[in-house]
Amino acid sequence: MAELALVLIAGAKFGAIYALAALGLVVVHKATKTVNFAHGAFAMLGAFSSYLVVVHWQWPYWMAYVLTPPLIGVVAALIEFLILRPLRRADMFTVVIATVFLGIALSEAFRLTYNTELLAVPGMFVGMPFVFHGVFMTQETLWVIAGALVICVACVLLFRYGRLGRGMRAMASNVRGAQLCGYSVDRVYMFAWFLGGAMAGLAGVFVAPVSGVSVELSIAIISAGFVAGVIGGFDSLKGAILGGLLLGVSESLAAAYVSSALKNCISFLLLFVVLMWRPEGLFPETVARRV
Amino acid sequence: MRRGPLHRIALALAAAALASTVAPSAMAQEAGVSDTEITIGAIGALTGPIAFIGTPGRDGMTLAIDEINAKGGVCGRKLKLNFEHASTPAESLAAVKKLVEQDKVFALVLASGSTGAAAAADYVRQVGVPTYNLYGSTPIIREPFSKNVFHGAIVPVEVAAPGLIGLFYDDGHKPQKIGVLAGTYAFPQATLKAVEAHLKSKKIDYALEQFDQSARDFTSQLVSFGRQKVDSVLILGSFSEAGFAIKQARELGMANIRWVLDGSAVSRAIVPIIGNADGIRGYFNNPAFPGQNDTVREFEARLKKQLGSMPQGRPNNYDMIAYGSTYVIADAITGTGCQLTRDKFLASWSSLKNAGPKTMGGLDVSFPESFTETDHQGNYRLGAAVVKNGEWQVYRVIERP
Amino acid sequence: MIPLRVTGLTVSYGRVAAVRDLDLNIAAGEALALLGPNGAGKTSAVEAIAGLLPKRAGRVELFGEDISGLTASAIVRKGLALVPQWRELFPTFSVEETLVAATGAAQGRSPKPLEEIYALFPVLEERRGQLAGSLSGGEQQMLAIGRALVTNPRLLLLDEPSAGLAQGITRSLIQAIIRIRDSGVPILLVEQNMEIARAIGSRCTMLAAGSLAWEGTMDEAIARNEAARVYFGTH
Ligand SMILES: Nc1ncnc2c1ncn2[C@@H]1O[C@H](COP(=O)(O)OP(=O)(O)OP(=O)(O)O)[C@@H](O)[C@H]1O
Ligand SMILES: [Mg+2]
Repeated sequence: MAELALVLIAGAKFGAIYALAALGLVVVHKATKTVNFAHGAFAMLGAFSSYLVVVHWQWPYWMAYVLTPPLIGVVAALIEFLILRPLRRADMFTVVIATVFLGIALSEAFRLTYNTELLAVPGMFVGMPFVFHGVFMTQETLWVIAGALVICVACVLLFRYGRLGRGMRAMASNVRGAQLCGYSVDRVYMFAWFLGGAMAGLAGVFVAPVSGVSVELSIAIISAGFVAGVIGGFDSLKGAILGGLLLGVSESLAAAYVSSALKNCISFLLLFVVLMWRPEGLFPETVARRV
Repeated sequence: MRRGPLHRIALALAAAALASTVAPSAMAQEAGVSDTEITIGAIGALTGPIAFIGTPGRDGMTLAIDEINAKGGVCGRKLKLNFEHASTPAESLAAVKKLVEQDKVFALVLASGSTGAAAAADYVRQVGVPTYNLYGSTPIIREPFSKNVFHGAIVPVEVAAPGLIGLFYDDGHKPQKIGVLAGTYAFPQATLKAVEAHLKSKKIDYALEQFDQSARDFTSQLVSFGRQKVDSVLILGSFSEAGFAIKQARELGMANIRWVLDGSAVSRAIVPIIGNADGIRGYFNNPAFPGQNDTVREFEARLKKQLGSMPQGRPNNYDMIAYGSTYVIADAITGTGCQLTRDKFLASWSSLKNAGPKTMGGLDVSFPESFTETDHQGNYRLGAAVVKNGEWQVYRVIERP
Repeated sequence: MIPLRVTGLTVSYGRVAAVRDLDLNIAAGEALALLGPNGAGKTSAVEAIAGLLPKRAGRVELFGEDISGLTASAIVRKGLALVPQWRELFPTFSVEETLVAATGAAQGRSPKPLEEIYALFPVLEERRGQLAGSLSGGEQQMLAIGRALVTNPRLLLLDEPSAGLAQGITRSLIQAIIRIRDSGVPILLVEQNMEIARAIGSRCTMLAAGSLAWEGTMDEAIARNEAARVYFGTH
């Protein structure tokens, strides 16, 4: 029992980070119909920003959480403005390829300037772990799971009830209708990228002590976030969160009870099964009569 | 005898003739050798995922060469380094060909990991250029024996494996059950083969778990070790993989484990990942860890002066090996009696005894190297290292088994 | 200052011109009907005026201000609201949320209180929590008009509001539009049905194949049966 709990907690920890990553991806996709394959690179930059704040400049840890999201958000919004806006009229394929290469370029730029295998970032909390019937839970683990999920929920609420969130949903639902309500395509797109970038940056801050800062982080985050998003339906924020948790926990369970070799392929297995069995995802948005 | 103008002209003509006979002979000198310079070529990755090997390779060599040249060079000539960036096998082979065919280097240094060394292996055997394999542990560059290929500080896996297992028994520890946690990629797998062979021959019971490259979640492997009551774990992988595995084991409540790491994970960079890393052991390829004594501290100071600022995780063992190995080359050149032909050079190298920085007044940051006509492995020793107060230090020398 | 002045408007899809060199004026408090057969270019004209379609040429002035180069969202914020032919609602938004979503476009003016919209279309209040995608066609049309009204427009463009609706619904829609007109909002109404056009508009402009075919009062148009000539080329 204790063993199962340990496995589930470990899975939830990665799952919460996947959820955060998937959420940012889905927010951008929902509002702009673009899958941003540079999302993982944004998360890597977020983790790097966390490294700079915590290790390099030795500032208080909370500043990493406060400074990183707006910083990466601005980077993402600038990229939208400079690179994707001119491609607005281009076909979907061109835009997706542009984001793929953007991600590679950001990763390589990082690799060139910081020529090390990995930058380590300590955890936010170093106190004694909680022990309950032989189940260990460190403060850091609790913080990652709870913190990431709280932010996920906050994001869902912002998207659901906030004015900017409403604008993004309107844009996602009907671009012409949204414009007739006074929402500017340019501004909503830019804000969606800002929000997506901020979420990626935050995911990076959460993941930095768990995985360290490396170029591999960029790939790990984008692939997990993408799979979690697709599992969840890719247009549903709740789906992205549940998809992320489901992915993290299944990875952990499969590795512990089937084979550790299964860990990496479980995500693609899940993706495959979901696409075959429920192509609309496990948690699609409520479908309404078309207008 | 009267010395008229005619005489003087005749003398000048004779001198010119003499000079002209000398000049062509200078041009016919061995590849890479001129009157003033000896060119040494090297390859290694300066960017990309394995730049933490190649960049120190370049920097360590440059530091040694600058020191040697400051003292007048060898055989009256300055050493000159042509370092080519190469990370993939194709780039490595192309870089080696360029160094040999265009730059016509006197000696070639493979400051790349196993990948680059393996890619260059056939070619360097074929052309016979004197080659120094600094970091490659792959058998492809080591076997079959070749009279122009030499290996330095990195010991063969068959030597490292017993050394690693020996670390479990240091300071009176008696492992109940050893867990081996190995990466599924080429480098750890090579060590794993030797480790398993050794464990089996010694009839030591062990549990094996594997992980993919750059893994960050080791829950399943650690849970399995817990189930099997493993109290000692050998990690074969990079410092980041080992660091996160140990960090996670602590989070899972696995206390009092003796951790032993493959040399590839013994790095300063592992400490910040784990936090309190004291007691973790592993082997180091050099006699002292950076910061451990005056010699290595002086080395670090000189390197820092050369680089301007010290990158994170440096100096590492690749800096130290590259520095020491460059002095070994200088020793081998000196040993030719300055008859700078390839044959003399290979003969001199094959008879080096205890070569290294010390003979030319450098810093002994690497183990001295000795070679014979039939054994081109310069070093068989390892430093047994442990983390104490957050710093690695070598606490004994592991001799050849 | 004249609410709407359109001069030389040309709209084209690729090489095909849908509207050619169109001039339009709407006076204060006036409702102008834009008539013409299917494919005449009425929708193209109003969408280009509202900024949803790019203009090949021409100039649009709203109360004397040139809005030709503005985007659709900027134009609605200036006070020109369009109820588009295909309604363009958000299926997953509730009725109330749809109305709230448009309040931001009333920048500088105060948005129309939702109560006023509900007073005009009581059925919307009954269904305020229902998703737009599940409304009937008539209700959707009312929601689309309501959404435009929330922006508190200075000029309202309506593109065939009666299309596809039953007579009873159409009658109450006409009443609502007349009340909007009488509140002082000038209207440009795209219509196929002459009776409806006459009920709302005083003047009309007829389009045929993208060009202006006839201009005059509604009464005159009906008396002279201009529609038949324009629509079927008969006289
Ligand atoms: N997206 C488009 N691409 C190409 N041609 C178009 C497009 N939209 C409209 N057209 C063409 O432009 C012309 C005018 O169309 P428009 O919709 O403006 O006419 P309309 O007067 O509104 O017709 P209806 O009364 O049927 O709504 C038509 O010939 C139509 O086929
Ligand atoms: Mg139309």
